[in-house]
Amino acid sequence: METGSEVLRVWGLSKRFERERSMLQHLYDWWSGQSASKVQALCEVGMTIFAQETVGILGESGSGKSTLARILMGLLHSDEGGGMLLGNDLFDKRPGIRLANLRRMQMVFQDPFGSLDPRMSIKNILLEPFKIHGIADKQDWNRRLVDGLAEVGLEPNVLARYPAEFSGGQRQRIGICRALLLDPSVLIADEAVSALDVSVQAQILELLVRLKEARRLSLIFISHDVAVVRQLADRIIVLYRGSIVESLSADCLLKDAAHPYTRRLIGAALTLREGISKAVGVDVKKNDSVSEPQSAGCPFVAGCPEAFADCSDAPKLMELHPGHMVACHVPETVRAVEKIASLE
Amino acid sequence: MGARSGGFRRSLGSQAAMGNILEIEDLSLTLRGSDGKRLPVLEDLRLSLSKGECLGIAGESGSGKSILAMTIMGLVPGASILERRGSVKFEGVELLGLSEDGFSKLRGNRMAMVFQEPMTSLNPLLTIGEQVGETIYAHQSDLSAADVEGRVCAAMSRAGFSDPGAYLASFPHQLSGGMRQRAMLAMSLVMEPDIIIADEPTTALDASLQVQLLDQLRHGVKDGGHALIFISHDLGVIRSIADRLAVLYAGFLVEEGPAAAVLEHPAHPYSAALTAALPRLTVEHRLPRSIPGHLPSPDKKPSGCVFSDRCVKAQRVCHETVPMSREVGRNRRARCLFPETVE
Repeated sequence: METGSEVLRVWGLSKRFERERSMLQHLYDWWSGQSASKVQALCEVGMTIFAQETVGILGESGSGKSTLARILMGLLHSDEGGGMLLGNDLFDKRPGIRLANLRRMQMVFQDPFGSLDPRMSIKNILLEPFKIHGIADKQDWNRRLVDGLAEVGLEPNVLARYPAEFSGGQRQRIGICRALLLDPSVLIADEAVSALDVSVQAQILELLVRLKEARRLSLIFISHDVAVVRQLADRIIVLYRGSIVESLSADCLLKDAAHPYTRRLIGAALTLREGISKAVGVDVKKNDSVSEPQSAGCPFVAGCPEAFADCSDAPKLMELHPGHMVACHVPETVRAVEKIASLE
Repeated sequence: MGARSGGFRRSLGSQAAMGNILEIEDLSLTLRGSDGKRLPVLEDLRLSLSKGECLGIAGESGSGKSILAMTIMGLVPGASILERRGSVKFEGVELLGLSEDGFSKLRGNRMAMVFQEPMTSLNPLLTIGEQVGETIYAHQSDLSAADVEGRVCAAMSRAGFSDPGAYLASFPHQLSGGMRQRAMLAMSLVMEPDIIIADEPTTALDASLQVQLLDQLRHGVKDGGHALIFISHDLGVIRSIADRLAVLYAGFLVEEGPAAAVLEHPAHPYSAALTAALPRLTVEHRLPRSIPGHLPSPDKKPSGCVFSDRCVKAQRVCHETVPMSREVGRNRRARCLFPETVE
């Protein structure tokens, strides 16, 4: 596939979850005539992924990044919105089309312990994609498994073993192998390295980059780790409480980040990773984790140091420069992060 | 050479012992594996901690960092210990072999621990107020309920609760992850212990919450004059909180020194590899570099230097000789035959 051609496009994806409520609370809702409150997990998220591109989706817990991945994979249904994957309707529920979509887009899961069935041998785990997708050539299966394992750096003798015998890094290799057996065009990695130690994390990142190049994959890399996303991705999409707040090229992240939330993330990462504190002039200590999101208005208003009256209207995602979108009424257009640039 | 520098260090050590609250000398611990296998998890460890100091202990999972914390706290079940040598002295009192009664007087009171997972370490059936207060009742049963509540609130506000009173009656499931971890921190601060051991206390949290919590931990510790042992696999986090850093690898203390100096100019090849594996933000286009191979399990450590099979600088002698810990710079020691020169 040509570099630069569109592979995946989604638009207007929204998802609301019902809050977990007790019987008594339900009764009270009924009695008081209220409808049960819902949590907006995803709010009108749209994006386009091009061939052989790595898109980093950056967000903290509760940002909706896993919900987005699950919707893309059809593991959850969105309330609104649509998508196209290589000319197919992504959300077409007819089994034939859904399977065809899944062959084109596969996922590596976050938890290397929960994503492999402990009672199945590695061979059976890896054969599942072939069985489900009716890949006929049975005499070919074994060769493809051995090739697939070699690609992720595992020996053929792992086939007879069980998940419990492997370390987290090895399990993640098995998960990557399983995702690639169907030759997808798009690979989604949802926090695929965050459960691993740094040295193993580096091994898996190297593997992902090598496979992406060799197989000309488009990679959607979902993570909370600013440093990892910045080094891996071509383009970064920042999610906050279900909304895209900023989207920009990874090379410009430190220099041009315009949304106060993105700058706070960078500030926290600089403090943690590089021991640089207060580098971005954003109070990373301002605590908004307790407050409930506003029903209208900017989702970041409670944590934002620059919020003013206009922020009670939800800002739309607007183009700041070509390739740089931001949803903020007061985006930081002056180089507020010059201090960081000088550190580079 | 090894013996001479060893003797020199020993004399330095006894001088420094004056202000040290914790002295670990030649600590070795071998656990009993399944089918009676010998699992040497800590080998010849020598570490000290002075008052008001924050010592970071870094290492991958399986390096022995948590078992070290549990040994200091007396939490390693006696039945699983095959062999134990050396000494762990807390204000001159030997902790190895101390009775359970003896430990009960120290734990919570003089030494406290903040565990990794607040959800499994907090009791879901007790309120936050009860759990923080429990430590006080265990050590000072004569206090009135009002006094206890006052001290609980004081500890909670030092741990970063802006309105502690509002959370006294909350149950753990009603709090966010960051709040739960602050409650754990309050539990460790409430008796004003001399040493707090925090085992990966922020790993499960978002970056901005981690920054907040580390800040509270640092202030909680410095203001109270406690000493802190901060255990993490994340060198970046350690750098942002620790004064001194000890790097563990397969049960060996491979490098020790001032945190910033060790991270900027690592002397041991393992510390260097570990810093290179850290994803960096301010560097252009550099993926973290992985360390080839994997951490050996305790019963399958290589002969000679324990890192020799993964080390890029290893020579033949490295596979044959176990290097002694030696001075490599000001206040710095490393267990390597060919350390990088620093300063």
